[in-house]
Amino acid sequence: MSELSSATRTPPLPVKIVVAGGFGVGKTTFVGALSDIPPLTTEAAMTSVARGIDDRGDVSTKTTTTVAMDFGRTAIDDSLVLYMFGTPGQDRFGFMWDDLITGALGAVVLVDSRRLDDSFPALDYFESRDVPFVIAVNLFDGKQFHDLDDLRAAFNVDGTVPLLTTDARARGQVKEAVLTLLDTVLQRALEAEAPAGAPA
Amino acid sequence: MPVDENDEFEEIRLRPFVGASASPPPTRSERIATSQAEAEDVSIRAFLITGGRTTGTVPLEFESMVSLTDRGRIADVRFEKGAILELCSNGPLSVAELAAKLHIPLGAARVIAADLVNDSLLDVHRSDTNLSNDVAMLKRLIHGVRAL
Repeated sequence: MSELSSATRTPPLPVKIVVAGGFGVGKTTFVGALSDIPPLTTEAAMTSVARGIDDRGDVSTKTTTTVAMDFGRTAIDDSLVLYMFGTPGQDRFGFMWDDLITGALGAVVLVDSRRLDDSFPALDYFESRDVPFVIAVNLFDGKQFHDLDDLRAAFNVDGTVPLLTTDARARGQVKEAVLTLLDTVLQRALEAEAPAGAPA
Repeated sequence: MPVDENDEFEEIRLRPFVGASASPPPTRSERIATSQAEAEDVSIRAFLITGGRTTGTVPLEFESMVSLTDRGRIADVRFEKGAILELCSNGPLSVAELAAKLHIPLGAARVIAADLVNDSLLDVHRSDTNLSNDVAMLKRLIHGVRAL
């Protein structure tokens, strides 16, 4: 009976955060650092448009590419489970992104400071959708190539967007990055809850 | 058709799509259908197992968790539907996990799982509140992550 009841018990409430960044920036490692399970891979389709100048008039040049999305799962307590979806953002965002951020609490934009522009599409996207996000610069071998003030200037993001360094291999640092994001989400929720005009 | 839907579309369409097509932008529902149709394009098999459908009968997110109902536990269904019920017999799973374990695209897993929910063979755990504004849940989550 216990087996049956476990299969039919109320599923836990899933919450989701998105980990975006260019190829090879460490998204899967980041996701795996907090996950109870080795990250699972699934497929999603993304559309992009070939921008070659030889395109023939109005012939559609839209192509569909399949991208692998890795995700991890972390049980928070009996009724809450955290999903982290790592997804490539080095290219223009496909429609699948709208699906992915639906219901997401927020996003971590993982950055390789040697390839900053890989992260710009993700920043543009989350800004335009008003999705709370933090920027986490993944330090490879502990090497920091720019100081954070220079990076903030390069990203040109709102001063309230948290910017921090992380090591995707280190569970403690990944936790800190996620907690920074969750604090941002909580602050927003508290502001939304407070009656208009009430003192902070 | 609300105007802001088009505005939103233009906004994301402008840079990558310049000069690509002069056809009018699709509505949001068309966009969703298109994106899911394209998701299914990656595999003829995925198209077949959903009976050609690209939208589910019940709205599900990738992280939506489903579990067996009493009927689902004794149901005799085959192929992917049966495989999903089998996977869920060990406890609740998300749509994303079903897709990963069955090696089918997310879009296809979502359609099949939605059918099973519609047939009352699976339950989906719903939250009526906007999670991003759920202060109590967020505090619980932060507490939980800190304790990891």
